[in-house]
Amino acid sequence: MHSPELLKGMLKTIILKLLSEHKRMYGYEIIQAIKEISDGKIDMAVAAIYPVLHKLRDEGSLTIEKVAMGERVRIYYSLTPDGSSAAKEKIEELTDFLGTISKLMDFKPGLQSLFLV
Amino acid sequence: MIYLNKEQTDIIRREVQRQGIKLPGLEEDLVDFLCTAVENELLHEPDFNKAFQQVLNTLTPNELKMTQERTQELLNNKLSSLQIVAYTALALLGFGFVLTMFAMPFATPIILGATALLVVLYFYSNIRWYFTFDNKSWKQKLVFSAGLFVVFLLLLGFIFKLNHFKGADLMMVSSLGILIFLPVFFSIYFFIKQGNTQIKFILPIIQRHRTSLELILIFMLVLGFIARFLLINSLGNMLIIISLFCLSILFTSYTWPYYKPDNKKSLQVLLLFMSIACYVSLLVAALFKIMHWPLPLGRWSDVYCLLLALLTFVWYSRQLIIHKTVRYFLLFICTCLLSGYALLLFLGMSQHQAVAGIIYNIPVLILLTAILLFFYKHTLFKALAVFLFGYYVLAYPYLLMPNKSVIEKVYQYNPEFVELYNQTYENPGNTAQWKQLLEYPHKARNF
Repeated sequence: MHSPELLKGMLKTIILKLLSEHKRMYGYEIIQAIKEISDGKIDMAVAAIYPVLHKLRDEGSLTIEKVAMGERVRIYYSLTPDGSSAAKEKIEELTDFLGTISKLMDFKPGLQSLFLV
Repeated sequence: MIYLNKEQTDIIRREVQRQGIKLPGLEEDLVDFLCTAVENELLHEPDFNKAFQQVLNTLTPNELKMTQERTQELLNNKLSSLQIVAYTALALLGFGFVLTMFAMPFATPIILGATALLVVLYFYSNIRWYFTFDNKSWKQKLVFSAGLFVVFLLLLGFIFKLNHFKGADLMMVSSLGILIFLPVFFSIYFFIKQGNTQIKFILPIIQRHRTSLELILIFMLVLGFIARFLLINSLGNMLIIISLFCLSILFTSYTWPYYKPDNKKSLQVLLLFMSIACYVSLLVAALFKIMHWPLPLGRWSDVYCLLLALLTFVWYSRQLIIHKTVRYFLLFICTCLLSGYALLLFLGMSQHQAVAGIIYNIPVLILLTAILLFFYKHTLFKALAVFLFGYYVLAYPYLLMPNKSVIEKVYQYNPEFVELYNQTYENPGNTAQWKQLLEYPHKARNF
């Protein structure tokens, strides 16, 4: 299981990425999709997903659609045109960042002595 | 796939409401989340209660409430375009008042334009909020429409009053009268009936605008006192009255979330009494001042209602305002105004001297800030507190000595003339007094 601290800055991008691949998704569906794709290593809490969804909606990146589901209302989230371009930018930024982190993690032990001198 | 029936959905909805979720949209999201989770759980566990309990066990304690807090934090982080327009209108309002003080042209159109913009924004934001809020019953629609109408009448009355148009008094008396009695009824209703659905409807309007409201009120109150200091009494009074009026609503709203069925204690009866007393006394004072009627308890009624408001705020501010600095700042402002005003009344100063006295009271305010800052955990604040305290101790003897001269310096008018001026404005129908005032020799007006 991955630490939520590690995911803190990436959640927005993860949600945008998922929504860029689906026409529309609801909160529970997003949580389950993240869990499934990460083989259960990332189990997002309700308190992490919904605030970000509402923030993205407030920023104009997402739009909502309310659908009656039996006795309740289900809110589907989907990307707006602005959200689509934001998603593209964020995904590129995160991919680049992960590449840099990967480079840092791939340091060979012998090279570290160069920096210690 | 199993779908939950109405009864089961209602149980889940009540649980979400019980945990204090009031944010529009989020409540629906969380109800749907729990319902979907329970529906999936029912595939393995046919008993609804057990399945619901198992879903609740997967959440951390207070997770739903935490979700709401985080959502509010994130949403309040940036200035929306609506807020930018509101702050621009406020800046224009401030600019208009500055122009008025220096008797420069275009002051009135700027003030009226900015006020009109604020009124439009108020209606727009409330209507926008209202249409994002679902499951509206006819009762809620009625309350919403009535509320909007009353506030509209009040604001229109203020604009009419400022311009001395006919019909202003009627509008002010009717709208303020409704506003005095309606929340009293609501407060008692919440307390007796535990009207959770009504709280869900009314509170979000105030909560959504609380931060902006506090800023606006402080801004208006400060402007009001500046106007009083510059002896622009009508403008100062109007600003002070409007800010006091809004404060009364804000203070009353602090107490509403506490009227819950599982939380009713004898202390709450006191709180209920206090909030109602605070609200009524502030609004009655505002109404009497606007209509130039003599106040029932004189100026001590101001102190009484402000004291009630302050006590209510102190009691419950910890739970309601997360940021300590904001809490201290608001508390500081309230304490300063109240202590200054009470001190001046105690010393028996006149209305105009009161403004000068507040300036004299500044060292006391500095001391209060120092004490408050000292309890703030940051070292920098402690250092600042020590500095301010040192300054106060050193400056006190000097500040105490020129008490009378400071007051006289600011208050340069002849007391006899001021008395005549006050009496004329208190009884505007007395033509002989008006004549006497207008013919009062200019040279004799000052010391």
